[in-house]
Amino acid sequence: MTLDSRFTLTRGSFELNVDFSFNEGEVVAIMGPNGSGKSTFLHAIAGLLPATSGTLVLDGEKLDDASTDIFVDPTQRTVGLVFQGGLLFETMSVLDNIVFGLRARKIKRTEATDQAKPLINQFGLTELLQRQPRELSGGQAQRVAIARALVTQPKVLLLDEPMSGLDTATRQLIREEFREVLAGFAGYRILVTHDLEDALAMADRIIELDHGKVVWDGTISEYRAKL
Amino acid sequence: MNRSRRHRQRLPWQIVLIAAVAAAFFLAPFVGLMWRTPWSKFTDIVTRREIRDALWLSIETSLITSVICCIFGVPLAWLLARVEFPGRRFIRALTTLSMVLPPVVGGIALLFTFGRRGLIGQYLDQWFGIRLPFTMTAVVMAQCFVAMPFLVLTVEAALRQLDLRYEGVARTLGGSRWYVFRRVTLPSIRPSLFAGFVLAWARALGEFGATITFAGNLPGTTQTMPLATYAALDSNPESALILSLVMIAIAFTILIVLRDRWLGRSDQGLPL
Amino acid sequence: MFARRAFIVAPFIVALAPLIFTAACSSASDSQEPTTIKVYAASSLAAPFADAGLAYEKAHPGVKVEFNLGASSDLARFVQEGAPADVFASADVANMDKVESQDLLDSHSAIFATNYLEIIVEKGNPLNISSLQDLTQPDLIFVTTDPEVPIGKYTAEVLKNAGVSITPDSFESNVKGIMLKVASGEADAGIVYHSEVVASDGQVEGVQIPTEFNILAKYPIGIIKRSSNKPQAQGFVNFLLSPEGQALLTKYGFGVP
Repeated sequence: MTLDSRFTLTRGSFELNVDFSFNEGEVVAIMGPNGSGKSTFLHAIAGLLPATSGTLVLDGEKLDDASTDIFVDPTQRTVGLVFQGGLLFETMSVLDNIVFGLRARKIKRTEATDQAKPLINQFGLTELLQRQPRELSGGQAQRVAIARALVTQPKVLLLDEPMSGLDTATRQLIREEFREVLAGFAGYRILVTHDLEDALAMADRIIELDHGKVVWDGTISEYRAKL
Repeated sequence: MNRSRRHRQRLPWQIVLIAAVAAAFFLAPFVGLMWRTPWSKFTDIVTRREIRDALWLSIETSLITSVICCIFGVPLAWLLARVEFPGRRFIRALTTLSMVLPPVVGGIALLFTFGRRGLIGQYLDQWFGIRLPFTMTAVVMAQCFVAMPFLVLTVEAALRQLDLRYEGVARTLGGSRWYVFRRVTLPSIRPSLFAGFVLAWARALGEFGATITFAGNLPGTTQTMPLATYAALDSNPESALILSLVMIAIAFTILIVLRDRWLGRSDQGLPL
Repeated sequence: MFARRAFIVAPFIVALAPLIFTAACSSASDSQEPTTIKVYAASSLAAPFADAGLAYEKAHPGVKVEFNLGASSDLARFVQEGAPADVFASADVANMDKVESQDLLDSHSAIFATNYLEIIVEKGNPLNISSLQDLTQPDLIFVTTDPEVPIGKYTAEVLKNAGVSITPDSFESNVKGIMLKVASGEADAGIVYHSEVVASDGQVEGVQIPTEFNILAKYPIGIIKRSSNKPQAQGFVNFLLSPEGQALLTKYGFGVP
């Protein structure tokens, strides 16, 4: 089963041009300077931006086909999105954040909380459930964000600069946690980062973008050899 | 002890002086008003039928107006902030037009559109027997016309300042557009929505020109507090004074009680 | 390069031009010392006073007549509060008394015009109003003014004379408000001065009020004591009382005292 991204996406004067195929076994890190198109790529996979031409196919199902006007809503795409800083909903508690995806599917609160229990325990969030997002530290917020994304059991996990804004010590800690999370996740894992250390620590495959074009695509050992 | 002395020395007296003049300019008229008020007769006058009627009518209509402004203004603000459609600038200009126009002009426009012989009003009359001028409905319409822009502008500004990624995450989690709007977007603009509501309410409460031109002036039905004050000015100056004071007291209370909410969380994107 | 700069500067010149010209003109006519007399007059006097003003200015070059029209009650209040009026013409004696009793007039006021009341209805008289009694129909929209405004008080008097009781649908701020509402068809009827019917030039239709119920409004005019243009103010008042002035008033439906 593969996630095939063969499309072009034009936003104003910027054009992103990609043609690759991911499989569930590899953690992919997409790297590149600011403005290279990394975030645009993630948005496209998540369904927040439509492709201008080309296709996006997940496990044989077309998520986006510009020529036949097929476009699957982000609501229907089984994608989990984690942005830098966590981007937790400020006006609700940690628990409400975590169960958001379940409640959006009309699952009642108590049932949703039960369903989310394993994840809550896994990430050690039991004590934080009634807190407000602004009371959390960077690391805590990041954990809540991942739990929130995983609770709906997505097929694709997208991480946008997950370590951004964290201090070095927290970074180390979180990196380890992330590696475990990613290792335990049975689906496609794509992470966008500009930090080489993060990429080397967590990824199996590295893709480099520059000005919307792919300039390098290979395994982590090949990348190390290159360095 | 030392700290406060040093701090006081740092205040630039020129700025303080000019600010004091400004403050005095705002304070003086209220002091003047209170000085002329017949305090001994206050309760007598305030309970007079015309004043109670005007008070009740003003509060009733302005609250209804504010709610209507929210119900219709928020979707409009959302449209203006989020969707790029042809004529967007034109629509935005139209919405805010009544802020720039003298209210009487707005009243005349409403009269010739929704009046008995108006562009739309004539059909309302012929087909449904609905006649708007001289009714409380007309008062609400006049108030909506002048107050809605305040809400639309406030909410639109707040919506524009929102980080769209929040809504993006919410959608990928499975939230429908309406669910996301209800549980993510609206709560995050709550302070601005509230501020907009209060602004619209205050504007509606003080509306005069459009009301008297479109709705008319009839104690009990269309004579709101501003109209009653004007009417009382010649016949009964004491009533005018008391009414003015009541209006000031209401406005003052709104401002003080809601100040924290209003000027509170600046990270919520308040334009104020 | 110059063209672009000129293009930028041009709008400012155009905007400033009126100021420049006015300054130039006023400095030229400084030698003549133009006098301006401010006349505060009831709204119903709008039409005849416009003509009177022009006629007076023509006969007295160097004099400008400026009008401030409104409800007599409002104007009386302005004068009491110190407004810079030279002449005050009211639509009733009561409002002139407010000013006179506070010793704000230079000598006494004089009645210079009269007016009788008339019912007005929409052009074509769709509801077939022919008497004051017809105004009591339940669905009929009748408008008047606040009782402090002369026409409001006169209307109440006329209705009382006829033994007719009406509940108005609105109290407009002055007689022009009544005219607007009836002419536009938003109100079915109102009671205004005969002169308003004449001035409306067919926009509304008048229905006579029987003489035994009707009242004759008396318009007093007076010169304000603290006026700095008394000679010219007196001149204008004299003009209004002269045959020429009275002819102007009757032309617009007023009566002469």
